Amino acid sequence: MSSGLAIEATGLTKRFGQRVAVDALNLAVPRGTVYGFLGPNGSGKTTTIRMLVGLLRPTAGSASLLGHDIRRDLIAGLRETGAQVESPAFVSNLSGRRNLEYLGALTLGRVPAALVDQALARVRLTGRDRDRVRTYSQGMKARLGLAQALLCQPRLLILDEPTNGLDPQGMHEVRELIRHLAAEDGMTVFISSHLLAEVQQLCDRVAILRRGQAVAEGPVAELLSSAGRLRIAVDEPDGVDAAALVAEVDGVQIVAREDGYLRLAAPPEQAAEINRRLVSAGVAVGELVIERQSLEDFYLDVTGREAQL
Amino acid sequence: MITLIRWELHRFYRRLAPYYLYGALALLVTMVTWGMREFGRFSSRGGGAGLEIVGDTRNALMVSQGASLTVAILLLYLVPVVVGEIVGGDGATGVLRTILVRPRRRAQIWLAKYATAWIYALSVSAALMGLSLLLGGLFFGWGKLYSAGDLHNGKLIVLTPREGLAYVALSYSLLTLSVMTAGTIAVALGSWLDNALLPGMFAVGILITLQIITGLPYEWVEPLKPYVFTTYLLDHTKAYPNSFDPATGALQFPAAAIWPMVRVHCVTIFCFAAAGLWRFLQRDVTC
Ligand SMILES: Nc1ncnc2c1ncn2[C@@H]1O[C@H](COP(=O)(O)OP(=O)(O)OP(=O)(O)O)[C@@H](O)[C@H]1O
Ligand SMILES: [Mg+2]
Repeated sequence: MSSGLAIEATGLTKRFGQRVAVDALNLAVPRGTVYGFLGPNGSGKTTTIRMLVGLLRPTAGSASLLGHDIRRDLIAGLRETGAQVESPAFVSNLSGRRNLEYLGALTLGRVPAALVDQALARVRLTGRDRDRVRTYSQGMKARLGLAQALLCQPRLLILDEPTNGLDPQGMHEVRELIRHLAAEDGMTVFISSHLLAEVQQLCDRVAILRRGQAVAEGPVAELLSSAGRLRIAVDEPDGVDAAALVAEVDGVQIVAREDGYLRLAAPPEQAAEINRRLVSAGVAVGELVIERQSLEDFYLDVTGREAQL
Repeated sequence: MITLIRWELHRFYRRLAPYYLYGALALLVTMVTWGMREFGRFSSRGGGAGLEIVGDTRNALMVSQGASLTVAILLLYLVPVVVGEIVGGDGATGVLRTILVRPRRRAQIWLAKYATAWIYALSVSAALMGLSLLLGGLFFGWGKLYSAGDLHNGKLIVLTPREGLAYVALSYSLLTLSVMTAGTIAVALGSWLDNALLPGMFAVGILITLQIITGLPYEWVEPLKPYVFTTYLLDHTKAYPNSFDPATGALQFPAAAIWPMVRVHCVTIFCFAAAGLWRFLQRDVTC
């Protein structure tokens, strides 16, 4: 296994009876990156994560954590990994602190109190750490979930929708924390999320899953620039269909036709070609704007606008 | 491994259920002791051999023996319910997915949980024995253990307090074995049923069903009986000497009554524990 990758998966597949939840997925998460793992509900994000951390057995394919094959050497991989899978679940009649001590003991045998204090402080739970988890709010549990993943100073952090249930401050703090961990501690963070604005701000690379398959993968900046959006004000002479003309250009997709406007998904470098075709057919191009595409637009383009589970 | 067991025990004893059972035991032992006080002045006329014993048989050992007879059923039915949560409960709450992403072998985690069930069963038996000896001792003092086992030969078996204590302890050990056969079934089922109550309830269901089957008065049941653990469920009561060696006249160790029980219980425990562990190692954690 290549040691330059924090997570590597090849042909990773999980079938539940007839349903294929993850379909021959390939993943390569470079060390030190913040990696976003996106996809609609039921697209297989959690299932992938569960396989990576050894909760589910892959039906086929292989994967490794920090160079350790998950079939042969899972424990070694988990030793340097902190993970929070789905909503945090704790021993509800123990305090938050006790839970951390318990989970830390599973990793280290005995956790130094300083590590527990640090983890609690990082997620701002310090004042409530002696209360039973049973009495925690959803967001407090989310914070504790993050704390337990961070507790033993892992090199790889795997987080499944970590900001679910957090208040705006909490989301902001978590974002800052993840940035800090990646920048200062060189931690690799693999994070699944539905909050695309957040992912766009935070992640170096993303993979987008649809029905268990990756439909896009790469650095966020590249993905967004590769498929830009154009807004063109057109005035067509009779008998000329501007939409049909531009649709013939390589890589162009018509997104919408509005009154006097065409909206296209197209590589920005095709803008000149589109303009040339329109003008030579006698279409008056009043305005041609390259719109910066948001991750949300891109995401909706590749996963489809209507959610189908 | 010790660390894991300590944490499992810590978690286990933070629940209420284990204490209910201790409480019930305290209540029942008090009642048994009380009953002895009222009726234990053993004065039996009749009986198979028409023997008459008159005398005071009330003492700590007799109370303890009496307690193991009367309270056994409670342990057999309640310990599985209490320990069934150790594995099954973690599946129900999702804690399983939190602890299984820690760098520990699943086998270790399961064994620590199973050890906790054993420790609890032992503690319950020990509490029952200790409490009955204590109360019996406080009320009636120490004394000899009387066993009517050989009465049909016209002999009453009387054990010195020392011998008597050893046999009472043996009897409680066997009771623990019985209890943990049911307990093992409950813990093992927890690997299938992600639920706090169902594993224990199913274990009790299996227990009762087998008890009924082995109790059926049909011929086809007979060949099965020796292999089914419920046949020996209450055989800890047979842990006392009940005959004399015809040659030497010495008391005979009740080996013939004990070994089949020990064998069948151990095999049953091993099979269920192995199945539960196997499933725990294999299973997909979807909770
Ligand atoms: N235990 C299971 N048994 C059967 N099917 C399952 C099981 N777990 C997941 N699935 C199916 O696998 C698919 C992927 O589910 P998964 O939980 O990985 O989605 P997800 O991407 O995490 O979705 P979400 O955004 O809602 O969290 C879904 O179709 C789901 O129904
Ligand atoms: Mg999910």
